[in-house]
Amino acid sequence: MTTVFDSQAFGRKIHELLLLHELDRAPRHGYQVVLEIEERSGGYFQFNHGTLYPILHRLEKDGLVVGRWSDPEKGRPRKEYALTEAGRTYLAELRAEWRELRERLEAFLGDGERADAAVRTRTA
Amino acid sequence: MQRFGPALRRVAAELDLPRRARTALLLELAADLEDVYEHYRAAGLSEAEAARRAERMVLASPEVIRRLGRLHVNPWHGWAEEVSATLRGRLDVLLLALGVLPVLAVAIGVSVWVLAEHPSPLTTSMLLVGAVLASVSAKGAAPLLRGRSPERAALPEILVVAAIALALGLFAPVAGVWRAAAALRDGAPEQVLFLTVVARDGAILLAGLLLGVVGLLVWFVLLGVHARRADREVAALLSEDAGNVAAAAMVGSSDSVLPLVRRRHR
Repeated sequence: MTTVFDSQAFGRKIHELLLLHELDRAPRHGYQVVLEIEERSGGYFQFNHGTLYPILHRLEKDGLVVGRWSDPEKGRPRKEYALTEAGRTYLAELRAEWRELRERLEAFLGDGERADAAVRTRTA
Repeated sequence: MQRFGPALRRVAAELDLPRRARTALLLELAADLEDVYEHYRAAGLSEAEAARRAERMVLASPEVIRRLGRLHVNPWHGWAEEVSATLRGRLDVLLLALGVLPVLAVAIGVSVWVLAEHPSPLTTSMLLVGAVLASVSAKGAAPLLRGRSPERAALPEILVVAAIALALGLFAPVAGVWRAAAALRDGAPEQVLFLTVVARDGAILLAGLLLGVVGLLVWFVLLGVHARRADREVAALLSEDAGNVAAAAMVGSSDSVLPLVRRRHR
């Protein structure tokens, strides 16, 4: 069966991949996930204007992550998110999708790069 | 928290969500704002710059708020919370309780009588369901005795057990008629069969219906108590009046949807 690239879901899936990948490393609070992603990507990936919450809450609603409030007796209470088993399975699917996209894109762009290289050789 | 009070109030004004979702989201935003602010302060940013960055990262734009609204839409739950939360006074709860207790007493009485007179797997099952319903209702209401919010996790359990009681009650007459038809075929006296179906299975049906109603009432009352506490805590979080915050802190609890309020004003 031929898989087809879904351009409409692309942005959403990138965000999900980033969040789930980060939560796969360790359970974290919402803000921690965002700061980690921002720092580890050198500021390339950012979640501004509360864009984190719709994604995180939908993942929670779908049972892919679970959010728990920390005990207020043990410091400032925060909502900590952790990956569920279903979330791990979905993350594996997302990683596979991403690998396929990258391979297909590289194969597609490869022709153009070879042509560019040939032009450079001729003009040199 | 007052540092972000105005910004939180702006978001709260646009959040058209069911009470619980709205409260939980506001708390999450408030906690994350404080933590991001502290993160940037620790990184050496000025107070103003740290607050600006925290707001930019955490606070939702109107479009994001609309997306959150669509995500949390649950008309039935929102309606139930709304109606239940309007039962403001102790008198309302007392009247509900007075409605619940006699029904519960009748349900228990009928179940025990039927079990004693006409024991069967169905009557035993109904008694067990009744016991489970009492147990989960007690679990849900127990925190009230310590001045805390009802146990939120118990609310769906109460609904599920009430539904099981209803289903079991409705199943009893069907199973009874089925058994009676089989017994008639085998030549059993009609009078005995009539008594069996009417007395035992009818009583199980009644017990099932009553337990179902009791479960729904308990769920409704606890949901209302939870929603009213959430209202007070959100009002305190968004209030500029420190006295209000302190007052709300008195009703907060460790299982509260807004534990921040309680902790900050100890």
